[in-house]
Amino acid sequence: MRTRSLFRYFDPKFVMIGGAALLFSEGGLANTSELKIQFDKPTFVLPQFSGPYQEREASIAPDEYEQAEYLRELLDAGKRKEVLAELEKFYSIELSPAMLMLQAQVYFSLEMYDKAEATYVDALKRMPQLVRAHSDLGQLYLATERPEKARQHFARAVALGSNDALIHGQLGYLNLTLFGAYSAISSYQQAAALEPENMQWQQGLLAALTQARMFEAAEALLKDMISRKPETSSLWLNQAALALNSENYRTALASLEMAILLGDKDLRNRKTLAQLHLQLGSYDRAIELLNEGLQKNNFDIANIAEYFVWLTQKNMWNKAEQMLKLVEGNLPRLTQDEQSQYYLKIAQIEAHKGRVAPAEAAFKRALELDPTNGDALITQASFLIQQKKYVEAELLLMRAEAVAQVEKQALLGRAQLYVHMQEYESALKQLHAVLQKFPDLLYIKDNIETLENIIKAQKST
Amino acid sequence: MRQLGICIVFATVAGCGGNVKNIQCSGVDWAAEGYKTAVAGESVREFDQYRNRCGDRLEADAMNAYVAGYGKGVAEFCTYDQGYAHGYARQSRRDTCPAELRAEYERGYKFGKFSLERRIESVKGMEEGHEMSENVEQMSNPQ
Repeated sequence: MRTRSLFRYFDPKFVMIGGAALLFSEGGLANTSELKIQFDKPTFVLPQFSGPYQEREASIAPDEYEQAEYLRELLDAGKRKEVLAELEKFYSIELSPAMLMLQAQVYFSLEMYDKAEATYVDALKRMPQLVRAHSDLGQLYLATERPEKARQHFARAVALGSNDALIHGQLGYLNLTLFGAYSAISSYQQAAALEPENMQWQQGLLAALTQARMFEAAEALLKDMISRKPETSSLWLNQAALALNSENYRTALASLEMAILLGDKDLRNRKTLAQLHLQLGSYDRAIELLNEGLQKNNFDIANIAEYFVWLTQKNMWNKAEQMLKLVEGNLPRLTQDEQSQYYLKIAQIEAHKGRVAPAEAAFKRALELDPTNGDALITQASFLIQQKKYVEAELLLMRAEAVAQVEKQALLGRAQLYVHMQEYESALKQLHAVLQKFPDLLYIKDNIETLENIIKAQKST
Repeated sequence: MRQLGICIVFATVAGCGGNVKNIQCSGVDWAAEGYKTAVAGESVREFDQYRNRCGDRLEADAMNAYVAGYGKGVAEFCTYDQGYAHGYARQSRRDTCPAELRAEYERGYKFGKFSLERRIESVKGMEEGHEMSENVEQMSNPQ
């Protein structure tokens, strides 16, 4: 088998952070699992309603002062419905935009979203540059899950001079989710500049920088964030993700260990950590993590099979056996097909160690549990060829030809078997059959030519 | 005499009938109605009569459409120029303008009124000047 750096096998992956998808390294090969860092679900905190009748940009009309004072008393007493009843006595055109804003805010706070929206829109018709109306309407659209509209109004609020960190941050978030990273960076930077202590903006900026593949800037920001909040496991996870992206696996491993030490409980992160330990050769820790995972029923047989391949490729048969022993206790929880895979691995270990009878028993068990286990059929056939049990091997290969996933392998295996048995005519016939079935296998033609020459030579002697 | 009596009865009925507006509760272009009311300088409260007299028969979206039309009309009505024209024409100042438009209208109104007063003063001055020149002429040419 061709050997390649396992690190090239990473599939493209997207890791969620703060509502943003972070793009990591590309590559990809079937049958390999992704190295993934699992972050907490994105959190986006919609700010609490800050109380109406504050920070308004539009002024109360002089003839409304008395009433405004009365309404304020009602609001202070928490009587929001009474406030609405008072305001609803008027036609909207009779109220100043400031009073309309108050009305809209009270509707909003009472979750009467349709009325709140109509009233904000009304206020904006009369004063299109009312910054507060744009920012409040943006919040309303966020609350009612209409992000495109929310973004429009936040952008308008900013264009009209709003210098509120929250608005910049929300605009950054919406740009990131709707339009991609580049449009979000500046907004997050602005929010972070206005509220440098607010980690939410820094995390948003980090997500935007990473998604924009501005990794150096992201790493620098992350380093700064970690130095300020070293106890935050999600930051270490981010660092691990960035390190993975730059193929700095040792840093990734150390960061993941730190995140887990700080309380990250995600089993998928543990799986990634185990993979990294395996790849970097710290097998004891890998086995320990695998053990933990198996105890929590986290590692499926596909992972085990993958780790098995890694370990055996590195000739770590004892470690592979040790890993399989961990699986043994979980056998009853596995399906029959999965158990079949397990016994195949056992058989491979036994075969490697030259213990023929236990190997045969394990192969037999694997095929009893799943008679269509193509890998088991092919592997056992190969084992039997080594034992020079050609007839049994031929039968297994013929069975394997009926299994789609290994059909090509089985056909070629049988041709190889005939060559072993020096039955060149049969081998030639088999190769013709293979070429007919898989005409893209052009190298077969060379093999056919070679065999034809051998047969010709045999006949001539 | 009989003819006069009929006339008096007729005049009374006509007079009473003049104050009772015939209103429709549906099939009205409410936005146009609101607009017309606004540009006539009348209050949005004109709609109250529809609400009071139609009750449930009033079309569902009548008020919103009326107020929207009124809003458009009032934006055209409550301008500096209109205020100036009203002030200059010595018409009463309208109080139908919404808060955000009121200042412009009132500025126009004050300036219109001021312009009119200036013009009156100027005409008066011209008249006084004419009288004064007549007196000077008489003094210089005593007969």
